[in-house]
Amino acid sequence: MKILIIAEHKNGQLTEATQELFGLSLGQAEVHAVVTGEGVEPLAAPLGQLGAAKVHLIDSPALASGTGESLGQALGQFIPQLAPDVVLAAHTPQGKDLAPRLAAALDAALATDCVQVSCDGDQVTARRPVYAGKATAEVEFTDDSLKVITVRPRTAKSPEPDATRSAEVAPVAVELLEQKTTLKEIIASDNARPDVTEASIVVTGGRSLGSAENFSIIEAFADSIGAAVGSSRAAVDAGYRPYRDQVGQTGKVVSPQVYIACGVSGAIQHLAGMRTSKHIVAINTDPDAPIFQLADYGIVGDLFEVVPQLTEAAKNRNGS
Amino acid sequence: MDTIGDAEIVVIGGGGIGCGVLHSLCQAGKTDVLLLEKNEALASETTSQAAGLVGQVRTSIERVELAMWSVKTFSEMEAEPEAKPGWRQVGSLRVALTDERVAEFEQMKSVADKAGLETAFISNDEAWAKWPMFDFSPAKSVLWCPSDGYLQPNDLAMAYAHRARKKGAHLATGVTVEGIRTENGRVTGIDTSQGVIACDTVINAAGAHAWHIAKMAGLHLPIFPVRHEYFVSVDAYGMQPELPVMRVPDASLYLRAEINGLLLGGWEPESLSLKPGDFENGQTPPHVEEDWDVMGWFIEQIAPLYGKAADLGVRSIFKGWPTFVPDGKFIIGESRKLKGFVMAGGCNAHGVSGSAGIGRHVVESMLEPAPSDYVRSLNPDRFLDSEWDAAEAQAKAKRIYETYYGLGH
Repeated sequence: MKILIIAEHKNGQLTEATQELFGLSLGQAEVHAVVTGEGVEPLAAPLGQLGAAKVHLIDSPALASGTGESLGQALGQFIPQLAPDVVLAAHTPQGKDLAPRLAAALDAALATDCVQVSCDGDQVTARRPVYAGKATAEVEFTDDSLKVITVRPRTAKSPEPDATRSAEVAPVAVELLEQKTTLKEIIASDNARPDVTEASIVVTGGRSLGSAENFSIIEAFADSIGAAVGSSRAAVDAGYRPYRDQVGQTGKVVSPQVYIACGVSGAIQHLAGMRTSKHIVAINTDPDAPIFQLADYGIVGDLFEVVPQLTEAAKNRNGS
Repeated sequence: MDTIGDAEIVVIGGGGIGCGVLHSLCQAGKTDVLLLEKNEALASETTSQAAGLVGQVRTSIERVELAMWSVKTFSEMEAEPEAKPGWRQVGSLRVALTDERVAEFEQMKSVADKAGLETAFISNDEAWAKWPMFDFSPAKSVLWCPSDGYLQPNDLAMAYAHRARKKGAHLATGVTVEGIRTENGRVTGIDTSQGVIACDTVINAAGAHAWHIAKMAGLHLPIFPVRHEYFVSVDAYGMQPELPVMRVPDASLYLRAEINGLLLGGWEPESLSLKPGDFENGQTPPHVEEDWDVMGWFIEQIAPLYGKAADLGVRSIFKGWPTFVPDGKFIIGESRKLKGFVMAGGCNAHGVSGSAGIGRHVVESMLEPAPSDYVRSLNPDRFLDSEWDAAEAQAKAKRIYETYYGLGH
């Protein structure tokens, strides 16, 4: 079996998600990798150390910005030349965009967002979560046409690079047609705050904030301590925050080192999303709010008075 | 939470019913009251798992009036600045898919008219304008009730508790009731995990544990927990919180928007019920595993109106053990067998929506010299004056669940 891994890179390094693809259970397959972009030759060596037998370089300034359209054209020309059985890409913004294009152009089978892939002899199987992760679908490929598979990051562990290994390197020439889209500019998100599921500190606001604008005091406090901003269901329901910030049974489940609940009463659905936090701090005007039963530290007070003071204290401590 | 001490009236159970009864007592001027909840937080068992639908269109005038009282109370509570129940008066659509159902809707409409509840038959196009993601072409009739809506059951319980506390009521959590003390055929107090409390009246609002509490008082009541589940989907096109609540009784389903997702639940034909003795008083009822076959059945049932439901990811499944009784009626009032022992249970999954009205009926049964025939018909003695067969009673209670939207209810 011949497998082609589409390598992604950033700032001259292979991405973590790409390295992980080499950690999948690939059996005795012949593993190839393809790298696109400008000046990508130095990436051949690390790909070889991860286990690629042959690295194909599509080196072109036109591919430097890596739009889905240009990558789709380049790989759409290259893949039939190599004729692999399986194409693997990480389920990243690039992989998500590219895989359906390739599958359509090459009349291939497609399985996206897989959390398990195994290649055993001629047999390829994959598993992918459905119903928001409540169930798992097992995907079986019923004929021997090309299979395009994207793999969710963190599915496999990256193998340790083996310095004794190296790959054969082959430049590939492709002919890019006129592009219907061009990448003009990448604008960094002004939201430098960590994601609520990844942060070690989360500051959550509830409905008592009263408006979307008033969340600025929660944001200022979160920024002063490097925290993510979370939201109760009620505050999302009221339209103060987007769903991605919601903590609770129908939102995200978080388990930070410190969880600071500001004006959150502590409905059982909210507790379901944060009760495993290491340390819980609650600020609420109502001393009977159920959140205090779970909190390690409680402040009975008006968050509009308490939170700005905490922000001030954090800033003084930071020396700014 | 408060420290516990003697009280004139003790309410057992801190769910929607217990808190609602406590609130009604305070409104009626009874403020030497104490509520006990065995869990660490109020509303943490069945209430917080409820969908919060509040529907007033019913087949009997008493039930319409009870629900109207609840709606009036929720609207007043929502208007206050603190501790709101999250009440959204978005209206409701009731969709008929069969001719028999159309006849039932016509009967329900005439009951609503008598009770002074505004309802109207609307065209399929008008229904579509209210729920544009749905295909109403299979609908034979759509009944619209503008004053219906939904609320957040957990917030409702907290709001009742907040208002009751302001009037002087006490609430204590983490306190388990271990026995009922009686003398000369009347209640004198209760034994709890934190000592003895003297009281004149005990109100049993213990939900799935109401059977256990009644048993401590020597009363054997047919109260059966029946599993109920619904799901909330990931964000779906067109869903937003102001959409009306919808009921499709011919498909045995109810639904509403949950923020930008779909909340879909129903009453499956092969229900799962417990004997109350299957778990102990001090325990929570058995954990409910997510039943995907039931979720799949809901999705099949809604397909004629909303085939897209099959493509929606499920964000969360809510599940619990509401209680059902063989005749499908509430159990409310003081038993002749034991003075001072008052029931507030057997809610048949109407507990949250009916809580304010049920609270009022409990107060009526206790404090008014001549309670209405309806309130008297809910008295627990209807099950205590004669023997009942456990297996038969459980089968009947299960049937009430399975035919929740059955014709002739």
